[in-house]
Parts: sequence; C-alpha cells; structure tokens
Amino acid sequence: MIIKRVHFKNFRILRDVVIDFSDSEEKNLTVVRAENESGKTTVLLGLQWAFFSSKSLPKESDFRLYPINWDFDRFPSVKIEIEIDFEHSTFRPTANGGTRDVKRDYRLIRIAEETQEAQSYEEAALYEIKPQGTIPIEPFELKLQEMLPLDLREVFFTDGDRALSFIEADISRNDKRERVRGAVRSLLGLNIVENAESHVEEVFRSLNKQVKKQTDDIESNQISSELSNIDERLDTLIQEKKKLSDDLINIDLNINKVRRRLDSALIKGDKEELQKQLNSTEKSINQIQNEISKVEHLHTSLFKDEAVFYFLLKPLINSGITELQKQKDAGTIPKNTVPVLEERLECSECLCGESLDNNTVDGKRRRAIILRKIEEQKHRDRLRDTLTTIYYQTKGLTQKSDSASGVWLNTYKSIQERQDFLDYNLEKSESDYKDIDKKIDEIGDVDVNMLRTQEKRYRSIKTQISIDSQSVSREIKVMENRKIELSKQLESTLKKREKTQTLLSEMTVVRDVQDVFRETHSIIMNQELMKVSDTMNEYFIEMILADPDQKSIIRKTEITPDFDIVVYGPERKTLDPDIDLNGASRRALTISFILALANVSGVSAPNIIDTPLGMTAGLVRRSILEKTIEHSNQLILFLTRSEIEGCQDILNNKCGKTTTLSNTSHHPRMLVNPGPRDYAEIVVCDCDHEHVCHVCERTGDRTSGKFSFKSGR
Amino acid sequence: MSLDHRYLVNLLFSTIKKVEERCPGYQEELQKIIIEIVSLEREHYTRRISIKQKIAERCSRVGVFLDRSVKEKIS
Repeated sequence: MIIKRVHFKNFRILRDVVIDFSDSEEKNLTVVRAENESGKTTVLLGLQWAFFSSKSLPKESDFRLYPINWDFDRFPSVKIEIEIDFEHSTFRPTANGGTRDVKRDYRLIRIAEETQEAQSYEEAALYEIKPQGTIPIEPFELKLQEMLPLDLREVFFTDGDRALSFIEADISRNDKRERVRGAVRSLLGLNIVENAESHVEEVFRSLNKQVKKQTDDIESNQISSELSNIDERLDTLIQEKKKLSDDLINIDLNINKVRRRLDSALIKGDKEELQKQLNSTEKSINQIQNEISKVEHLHTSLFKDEAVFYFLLKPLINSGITELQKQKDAGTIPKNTVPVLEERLECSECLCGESLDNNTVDGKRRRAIILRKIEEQKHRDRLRDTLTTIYYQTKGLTQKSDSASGVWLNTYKSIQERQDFLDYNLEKSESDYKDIDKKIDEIGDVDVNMLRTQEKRYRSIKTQISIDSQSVSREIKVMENRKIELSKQLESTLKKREKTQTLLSEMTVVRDVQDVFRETHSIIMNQELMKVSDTMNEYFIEMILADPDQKSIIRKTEITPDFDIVVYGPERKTLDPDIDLNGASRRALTISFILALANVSGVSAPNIIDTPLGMTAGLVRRSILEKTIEHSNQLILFLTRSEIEGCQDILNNKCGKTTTLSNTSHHPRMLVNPGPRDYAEIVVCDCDHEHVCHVCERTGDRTSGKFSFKSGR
Repeated sequence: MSLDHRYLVNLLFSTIKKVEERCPGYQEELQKIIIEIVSLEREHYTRRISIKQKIAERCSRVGVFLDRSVKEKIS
C-alpha cells in the first residue's frame, strides 16, 4: 500500500488539511514538518481512524472527533470527514506457480457527524478509482481489512511517544510478548497457518470417520472371490459346452453319413424288414389255412346235424305222416291194446271193472287171460307197432323240421361266408408272400443291420451328448444368473468402495494440505522468525552504529522463540531495554523490529512514524533516519524542526514530498502570521526544511539564516 | 493477519514442492487449494463463514482429481 493523499475535514484541529505523500520509489520519504501542538499526532490519529474506524481511537469514552473550538451555537452538528487516496498492490497466482502484481487505486472516505454531546453516526466507503470513474467496493470492510489489518496498526502507525510499545517497561513481559507475537503472527501469516491447520484437521477427522465406516465392509472381497470362482467355472463350462457342440456336430455328420448310406440301401427295400414281412405273411397264411380247416370241419359237422336230415327229408316225412295219419284215423294205430292191458294189470282193475288182483283167483285168472291176450296181440301187431312208432315219431318231426331248417340255413350261410373270406385272405397272403419273396431276392447283400446299428449307436451318443450339453447349459445358466446377481451386489459394494477410494484420495489430499501447513508453520517458527530476528539485529546494530567487535555495550538483539525481544551486552548478558538502553536505541530497536518484520514478510505498507528521531542526535539520528528510509517501502515521518537538524542532506536526497503544518493558535508568540480564519486551526504549506513562508514562518526564522523565505501562499 | 500474504503463499508454495507429485498436475492443484484456503481463512477472519465445509469441498475436488488420475494411470 502506498498512501498518496489525505484530506481532513473538521477532524479535531484539522479543519481542512490536505497532505500529499510521495509515491516515488527513489524518494520514498514524506516529511510532515510540524512543531509541537501542530497536528502531527492528530494526522496520525486521523489516518488510523480513517482506516480502522473508532476501534483505533483512544478508549476514552468522551473522545471527540470534532474541533474543540467548533461554534455549536451557529452549527449544532459537525460533519467530520477524512478522504484518503491510496494505491494497493495485490498478487495473483500464475499458471507456473508464481505470482504477479496487480496494482489498483482506491479512495477511502470515512465520515461521522457529531453534536456537542454525542456522535450521530459514522460510516465509510471504499471506491476503486478507474479512468472511467469510481466504483464502490462492497463489502468494503473486508477489503480494507485485507489491505491493512487492524492488528498491524501499531506496526505501521507508530507514535513516537509510544515508540517502545514492543519493549517498553511499563507493561508486563507477557503483554510485550503478546504484542511481538501478534505482530509476527500477523505479518508472517502464522494466524492463517494455525487456523488452517486446525480447520483442515477437522476436515481430516470427518473424512476419517467416513472412511472407517466404509472400510468396515468386507462383503466386496467375498463377492469378488465368489465371482472369480464363477468366472473360472464358467470358462470351463463354456469350453465343455463348445466341445459338446463340436461333438454334436460331428455325431450329426456321422448320423447323416450313415443315414444316407442306409437310405441308399433301403431305397430298394429293407431286406430284414422284408424277411420279417415274409415270415409274417407266411404265418398269416398258416393261420388262414388253419382257420379254413376249422371252417371245413364246421361245414362237415353241419351236415351231420339232424336238422339237415329234417331239412332234407321234410317232403318225405310229410308224405309218411299223411299216410300214418290215415292209419291213425282208421284206428289201426296207435297200437294201444297191449299198453292198456298192461296198464290194467298194473292198476289191478280191469276195464270192465273186475278185479285183477293176483291174490284172488279171478283176478289171477283174469290177469292170465290178459297176459295171454297181451302176448298174442304183441305178436299180431308187430307191423302195426312199427307203423305206430313211425307215426308218433314223425308226428314230432314235422314240427322239428320247420324250426331246424331255419337255424341250419343261417349257420350254413355264416360258415360259407367265413370260408369265402378265408379263401380270399389266403389268396391275398399267398400273393403278398410271392411279392415279398421277389423283393428279397432283388435286394443285394448291403449290411443294413450294421448301418442301423451304427446309426443307433450314433443316435445314442448324440442323445448322451445332448443330455450332457443340456446339463452344461443349465449349469452355465445357473452360473450366469449367479454372476449377474453377484455383479449387482459387487457393483453396489464397488460403488461403496469407489466412494471409499475417492474418500481415501480426499484424505490423501487433506493429509498433504495438513503437511504443507504444518511444515510451513515449522518453517515460520524456526527459520523465518530467526530471519526476522537476524534482520532486526542487523538494522538495529546499523542504526545505533554499534560495533560488537569493538567493545560496544550492545552486542546483539534477538527475538526468542517465546517472542521476547532481548538485547545482549558483553558476554551475552541481557540488557533491560528500558534501563540499559538510551532513548535513541530504544526507538531504533522498535523501528528495527518493525522494519525487519515488514521486510521479511514482504508486506508493502507505509511506515508512518511520529517523531522517530526524538531523543536522538548526531550520527545515530542520521543512521536511524538513513536505515529507516532504506528499509521502508513508503516512509512517512512526522518531524519537528529539531529532529531534522543534522539530517537535512538526507532529506534532500530522499524526501519526495514535504508538508509543513502550523497551528494558527501559535500566533503571535511562535507563529509570525495569523491564520486565515478567526478560529484556531492547522494550516498547511509545502515548505520543506530549508524554506519558510508567511504561513509557517516562526519567530526568529528570518534571522536564523537557516531558511529561505517563500513568497505567496 | 498479514496484508497480501505473498510471503506466506511463497512459503507454502515452496513447501508444496516437497510434496510427492502423486499424479501429473497434483502439486498445481495443491497450490490452488492452498491459495483458496488462505483466502477462506482471511475471509473467515473478518466475517464468520462455514470454513470447514468450504475447505472440505475444495479438498474433495482435488481428491476426485487425484482419484481419477490414479485410476486413469492404472487403466
């Protein structure tokens, strides 16, 4: 940061004061000349208020900003305003890991309004100044804080009266240490590093928890292992399946080959089959012939049946019966005498009613007569017996012949039909037999059987292969299904694992980031703090012109790891800065610490020091001034005339801008001319240490011979 | 809190160079994340932000980058 210009309005005694600052690299020094009570401290305070608001003000509760001599009767409230123009450079990281500067101009305006009793409001605004105009920056507090943090206020705005703030005796050692530590931490970025370490550690812990959760899962390993086994098995099965398919193709080829041979052979007929047919036909012929024999037998039997007799003799019988009927009608037949007589004998009573009892004489006699008659009759009726027999016998026959002739005819018909059928079949079978026999003769000696056996064997093999193939296919299907199932599970677990992998990578990154901050912290605490300490020692020794090799009292100063600034005398005896160092050395030590810190940290901020050369004189004063100029980026010194004494040549060479402040209330005792207004205020002129004008001319200046008089205002 | 942290960033960058280049561009990514964290800490210093979450997001981004790069290398 380089402050270019500041304009105070109604800030305490600075009613309307503009100060321009040098922004030259060669002449980086701006001198604000002012005697006591001429606004130096007020300018320093005003700059701090502008940058840091009321937080930078002394803690007195009744601290006022408005001019003490404000006419509240005429103007009940006061508008206080400070406007600062400054340049600020930031850096941007470049693609190659380096950095580049980016410079921008800004305007900070802080205003407040106060009444005699209290402050009404305070506000501020920050603008970026561009060729086309000003652009407000929001939120400006953040930007301003980045540019010039509050905790570095004491480093860059140094009040000469409090120049020993880091070493002064009236505060405790702990307070001093804390001030040094605070300045070192801020400028070297330890705050950032430590906070970042803490936050990154929290991130690491959180990640670690997540990873632990994920890695507890061993399921994926088991799945992977099973999947691997399945893959191996599938490889084997697929090979097997392929082999079976090849076998199937080969066996089909063989079957087709045999089939073709067989078909070719069978195109003329199947010898074996024909032989079978021949045998079968022969068997059929035999069966038919047997059947025929049976039918012939039935036929023969049919003619032995009496029904045939009845059927054939029916006309003759009818004729005989007619004749016998005549005999019967004539009473010739039937021959009834003998039986009647015999009947009578049996019943022991004669037709005439007489007894035939053999026990009686008459009966006996009668019986003998009857027996005799019976014998006689028997003898005479021999022919008639025959006729009678015939008559009674044929009498039934006429009835029998009627019914038997119908049955016989039907039976005969049936047998005849059966015989015709069998004859036909026999004839056909015999014809078939001849045909088959002829075909058999025509088939050569091709071994159809062998081919069939071969085909059968091949088909059996094919069946087995098909069974095996189906079995393998089934197993493949099962394996594939299981694989799909496991793959899904694995995918799910792999997603978890992938997430874990990513988390592990994140942890790696977080660990690396932690290491970077940790290592940097260590470097700052060891190497960089040492560097600040060494640089401070170098500057300090140069400023006070001490020569440690030439018996000087002050030999060395350093910052301890506990952030104490320690000064060593001979034989490394520690010196109490407040007692053992003179005022010049104390200021030199404080300035050395500030410059060393700023230089090591590379921070480019203005060093604004009020009365830095007080209590100094001679070569030490010059040395302090020279070294402070040399090691500052922008140096703004509030100097009294007496402080400038002996350093004019240095200012001539290094001072880019000079502003002289005069308090009009010093007129007429100290200031020759009155101010432009009727109230006391600070007035400004651009006179340097070699010039005075009617604004800043002080009593005795014209006769001192030290100044040239500048005319005009 | 320092002013523009150039010194700090340079220190951090020089430390990053000691970190193993786990994949091409890894140190560059670390540089980016470190600058981001420094900026976040600066922001957090002046106004409270959910810095842990933001740092985690940045680390996650570089973690994914690393993870992907390593996987690409393996495949």
